Amino acid sequence: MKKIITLNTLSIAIIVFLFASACNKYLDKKPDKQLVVPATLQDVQALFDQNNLMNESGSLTGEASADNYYLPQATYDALAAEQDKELYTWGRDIMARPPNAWSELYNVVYDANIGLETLDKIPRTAGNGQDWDNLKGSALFYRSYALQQVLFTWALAYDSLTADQDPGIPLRLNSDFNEPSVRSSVRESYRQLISDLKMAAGLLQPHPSFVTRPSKAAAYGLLARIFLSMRNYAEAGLYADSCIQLSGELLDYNTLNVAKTYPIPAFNQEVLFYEAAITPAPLVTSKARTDTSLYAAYSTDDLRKQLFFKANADGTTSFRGSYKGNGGYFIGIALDEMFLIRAECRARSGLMSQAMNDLNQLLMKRYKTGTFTSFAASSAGQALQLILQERRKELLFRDLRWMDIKRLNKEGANISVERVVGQTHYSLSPNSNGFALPIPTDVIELTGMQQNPQ
Amino acid sequence: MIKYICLLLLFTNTYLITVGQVLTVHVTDKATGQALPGVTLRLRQTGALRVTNNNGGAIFPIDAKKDTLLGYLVGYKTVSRSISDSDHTVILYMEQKTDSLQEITVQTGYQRISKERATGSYEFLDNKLLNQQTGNNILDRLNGVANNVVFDNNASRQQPITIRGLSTINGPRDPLVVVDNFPYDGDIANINPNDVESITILKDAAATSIWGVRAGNGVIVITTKKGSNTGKTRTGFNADMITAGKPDLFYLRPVASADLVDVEEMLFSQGYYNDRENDPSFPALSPVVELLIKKSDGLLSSADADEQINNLKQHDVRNDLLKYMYRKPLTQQYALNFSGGWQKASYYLAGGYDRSVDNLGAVSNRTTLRSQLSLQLSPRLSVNTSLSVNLTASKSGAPGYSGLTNGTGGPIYTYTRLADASGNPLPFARNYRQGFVDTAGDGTLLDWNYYPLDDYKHNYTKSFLTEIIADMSWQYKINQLFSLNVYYQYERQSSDGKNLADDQSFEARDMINLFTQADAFGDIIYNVPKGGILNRTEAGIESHNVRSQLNFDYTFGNHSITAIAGAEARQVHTTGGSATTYGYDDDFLTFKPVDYVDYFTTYLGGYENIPDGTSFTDQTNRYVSAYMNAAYTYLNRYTLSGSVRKDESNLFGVKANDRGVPLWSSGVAWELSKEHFYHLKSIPYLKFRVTYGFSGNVDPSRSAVTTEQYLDYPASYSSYQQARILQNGNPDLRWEKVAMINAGLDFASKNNAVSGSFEYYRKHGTDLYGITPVDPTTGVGDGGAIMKNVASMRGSGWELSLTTNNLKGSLRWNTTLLVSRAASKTEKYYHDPALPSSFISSGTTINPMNGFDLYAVSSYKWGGLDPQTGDPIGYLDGEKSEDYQAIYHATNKEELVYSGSAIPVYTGALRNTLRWRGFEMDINITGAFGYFFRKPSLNYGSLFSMDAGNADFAKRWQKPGDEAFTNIPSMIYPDNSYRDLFYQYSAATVDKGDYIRLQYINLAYTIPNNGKKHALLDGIQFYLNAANLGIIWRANHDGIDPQYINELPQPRAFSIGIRSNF
Repeated sequence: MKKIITLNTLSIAIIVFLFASACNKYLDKKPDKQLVVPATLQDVQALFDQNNLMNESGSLTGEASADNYYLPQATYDALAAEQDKELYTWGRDIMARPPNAWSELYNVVYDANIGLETLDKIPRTAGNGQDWDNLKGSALFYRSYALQQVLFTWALAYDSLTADQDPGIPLRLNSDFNEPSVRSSVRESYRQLISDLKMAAGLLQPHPSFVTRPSKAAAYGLLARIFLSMRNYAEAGLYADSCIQLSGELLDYNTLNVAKTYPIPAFNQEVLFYEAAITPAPLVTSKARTDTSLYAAYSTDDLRKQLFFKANADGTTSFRGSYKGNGGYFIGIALDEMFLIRAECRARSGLMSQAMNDLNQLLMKRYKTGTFTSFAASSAGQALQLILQERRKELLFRDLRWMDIKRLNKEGANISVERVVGQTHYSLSPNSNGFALPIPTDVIELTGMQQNPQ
Repeated sequence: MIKYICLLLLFTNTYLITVGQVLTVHVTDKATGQALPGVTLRLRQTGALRVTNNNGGAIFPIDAKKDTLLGYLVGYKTVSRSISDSDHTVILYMEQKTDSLQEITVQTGYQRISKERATGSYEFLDNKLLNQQTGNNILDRLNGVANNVVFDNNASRQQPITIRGLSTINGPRDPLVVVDNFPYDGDIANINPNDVESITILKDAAATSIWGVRAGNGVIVITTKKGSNTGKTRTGFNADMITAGKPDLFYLRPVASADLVDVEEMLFSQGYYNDRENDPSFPALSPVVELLIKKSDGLLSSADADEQINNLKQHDVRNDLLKYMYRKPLTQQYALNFSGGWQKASYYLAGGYDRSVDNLGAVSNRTTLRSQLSLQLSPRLSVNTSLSVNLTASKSGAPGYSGLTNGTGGPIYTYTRLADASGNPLPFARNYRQGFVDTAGDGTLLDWNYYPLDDYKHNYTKSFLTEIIADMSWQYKINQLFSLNVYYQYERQSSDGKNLADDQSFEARDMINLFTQADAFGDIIYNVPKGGILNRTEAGIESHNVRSQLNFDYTFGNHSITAIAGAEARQVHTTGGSATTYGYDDDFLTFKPVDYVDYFTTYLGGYENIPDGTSFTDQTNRYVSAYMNAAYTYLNRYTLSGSVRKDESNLFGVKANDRGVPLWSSGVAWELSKEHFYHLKSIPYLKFRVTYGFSGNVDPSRSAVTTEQYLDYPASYSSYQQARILQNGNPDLRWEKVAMINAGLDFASKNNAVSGSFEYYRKHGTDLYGITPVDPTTGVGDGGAIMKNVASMRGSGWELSLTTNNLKGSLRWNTTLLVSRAASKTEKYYHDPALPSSFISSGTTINPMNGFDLYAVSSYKWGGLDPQTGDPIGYLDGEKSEDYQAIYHATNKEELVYSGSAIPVYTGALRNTLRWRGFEMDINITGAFGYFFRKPSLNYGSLFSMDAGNADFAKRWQKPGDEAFTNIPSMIYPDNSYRDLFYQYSAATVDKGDYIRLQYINLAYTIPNNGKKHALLDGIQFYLNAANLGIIWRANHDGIDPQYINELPQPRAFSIGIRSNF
């Protein structure tokens, strides 16, 4: 009798086994139509087109530490989080727990790395070559754009003498999050960005189908910005020029409607790559007041004086000139920046008239029609001064000022940044370590990486 | 050789049964007419033995011309009946022994097993007990009557029901709900409690392992009513009405109106509101601040402003809400059923209609229909079918207190006036400043005011749910040993929702105004057309369940073996979608097209496009499982059981070989009282059982590979198809495993004066999922944390159920006591918690300290208030400190104060039932002990920025000396967010959670059955029920109901009803 049971059990077991193995195919059904394991070019492109992360999660940490704005005392007092007060006064604890500017930038890096790793698994063929290249270039570009912001904010300015020793930023070049983060040197950080962007420029299409996507022109623009920050003016000028060659016309501010709350339209013709930032509390338009001497530097015929600023009831002004078309901040690549880079580099290499020509081309579109008379300089040095002043007036609140202060101080510009809160006077002296902002405490605690000194 | 003989034997055996004469026996309970499974049947002459199946049936071969059939079942009188070879079908009626331990069979969803022979931990709740509570949700009726089953109303914890504490903090935390044979995918509220016969709760690993990985949190098996083969038609009906008071809005303690005004005046004088005044998007300011601005701008005289402000100080919005918005809820339930059957068929037909209107006027109408039919098609083949239909129509109500917010997301200002003196709705500046709303657009715009008392009448959701469940099962007797069951279930649920914000609603007017532009010629363009906004949603679930199961029953001599083996497949297909229509007119069903692609400059200067609510979802989950379960009983006193199950699924990104995990269990039971040496006369029934087994859990939202999700809305600006990374592939993830050992003792004293059970269990969980901080530089993590296998834990607990018959005779008094303990400690924490501040906890994450409660309330050490300043004092490196920032960053986890478990360690219920003639009264008192909670406290940052404050503000430190009787820190300006954080998470805000509450009182009168046939009122029962009767005792002194820390407690509810079963 026992055997019968065994036999029966066995046959049942066989039936169950057969049933179960037949089901393997049944289990290969996708659980959710919207879900994929990224494997195709379309998957990568869709990931990169998620523009609220890839294009709108930039950082303004450097801008919030710079001197384009100040906070009235009552506004400072009303800041809800201590981190925001510290951000304003260069404290040690400037970031809330994630999500914050640091984590968002590295989130972009992660997605770009996923894209690169997916592309590695897709063979490049004659049929998909153009798209494949464009996506590879896009991945490198997005990653570089995010890392550039980290580098400009959390590291000291490039100095060829100390760049090997100065701590740079963690270069995360794959998506394995179990791999510990380590800071590379400033030189290594720059080297990586430049080589990635050069490769990207070779792969990307000259013009994007929409400016949320990278392009060759944008890659040149970013290279120009990066070389400028290294004070490699020859390269910066060349890349700015390459960028301008691929781009259209400057926007004539005479065509804008000053009555609008935010008069500069988003996605206007100057925008080469659209990137916007998450606004930290001190820079919220209703709080941040434009630096009074900066505002005073605009002449009355300068359209920017009205288009860029809103007059407040208390006599102060607030910035409203963002290329984002609303109260948010645009920190992408636009043609005006390229004209200013090329002008500066030309001036620095002694090409005074070409430099002044670049500057006047830009300012012509900024002044009231009929009021503009071309600026002239008597020397390349004077041209440079004019160009730097216009750079400040044109590119304010684009997260560029922080790097400019660091870079120009390396050349003896002697810019110190001051804050007054109540009776306390805060100051960052030129070339001080404080220009490399403190890395979020949780990153330091979790990785043991080197914190920037006070 | 032996093999061949056996094969031959097998075939002959089969052959004999196939061609020989058979006798089909049905055993039913004489009193109830219910089929009796598990009855041992014996033919005296041939000695053939059978045990009845789930339908109370068994088949014998007939060899002798005349024989006697004997039936045995514990708790029943043994019956005998003579049969002859002319009998083909016999119904055997069995009568319950009085005063004996009632035989209970528990339904695991796979088989019905006698509780007598069970080794695992099962809790059985019959219809009568479930009916001691009213209401139209069946699971709510378990509250207070099931042992170690804890109900938690705290929405943020998302664990409404836990059985024996938590087994996991992630993944699905709910117990698996099974209706009859299959897991139930719909909303449990769809099930009409009147159709429920009984509930079995499966608690230990041996009981739950049959359900595999989904059963880690316990299983609740709902068994519906069935027909019976008595040949008699039975009619049952139930009608009742439940109402309750308005909620106690004053239970919540927002900062008092006068205090709020004082705070706003202080902030105004500090220039706090300057930025908001300066904001070009005109964010709303509170009525008091607007008055202060007018006063300071000279637009309002000081005296007028002060008078208006003083009036507001006297006002409390909660009175308005109670007067104009809240009402008494009313639930009506009607149910009617017919059941009956003949020898070869039985049926159950039921219909129910429920209507409920809640205290905010939300209406729900539920109609349920259910039919069930069992047929004995041949002596070998029986078929069982059932069909359930549920139709629910509902409409949303008013927003209520918690649904009304001010412009900053905080609660509506306590001093808000919702109506004028004659009760007309007043506008409330929620989104925009009143001054802006009054003047914007120079008459070209629609009224931009928001009227809280009126708006919900113009902005409501109607939904309609249809659910059909069709079941079919076949049982085929292969031979005397084997039978085959095949089950199939089809379920389809579809729901349609329509949210209509009509042209009078704030939502529609706001959207239209925002997108109104003047063109170059000054003409007004409405980019969002005038009219209503209709949002439609649809969701569908369609599931197929198939199960094939081979049953084996074999009894010879003193041996009895029951085994099942089967395989099942299951597919759940979920679809859904939504769509938005603008310019909608519900009267004519007309609408207008809009431009979703282009971005517009909104009236407030924003750069936005018109929101398009179109979305689609389509998900398919498939599961395949194989299982086996066997029990061997010797001498009816020793039972050995074992089970094994493997589940596989199509979970995305799981490698094929990781898809399944085998889970197993084993157990023994020993009915000690049947031993010859057992002489304890006072305890005639004593059974001992032990089980051991594994359950597992995998978090379906985490996987080994990186997955990407296409978003159901296009990218902004570019309108390209977009996707996001959904899961960061982590190859290191492992299954959570929980091993559980359970020991139980069932006992009954003589005449059942005292009966009950005691269960003890230990759990050992390894690789538990937990949230652990991750380096943000990696680019992964949600809020700086990811899910990892972080800890192992040890848990233990026990359950005591004790029923005593205190009084017999005309006044009968029963008491049931349920006491349980469920404790778990962190055994090992795998990761070094680098950020101590992230382990300050209110008990929702795994505590990283070894040896302490797994879910603990932990806090900063509290050093009182500074006598000079009223600043809270903490500790840093053992020294008193007021450097809150340093405390936040540098407190070691060893310096934190661990109060104890955040989950009740002890829970209990005491239920008394008194019966006298036709009267019955049930009183249930429940309690929870040994746990802690963090009470709502004052955060000055939230008070300033959102007007969200706690009434504790009135008790704050104001002058030296106050520190002697208050822990509430002084108000400082500017605020220090670290100071707020320190106080909020200090030991000063922790309180003991222990409480005792009166769960319900049930009063019933049954008209006695006087034996006359067709007496009209025979067996009719009238009942009254009172529920949510409130707390009898609590450990905290702040009047907080620990079950409702941040939400409104359920008001007392009263039911009146009538039910009958002819």
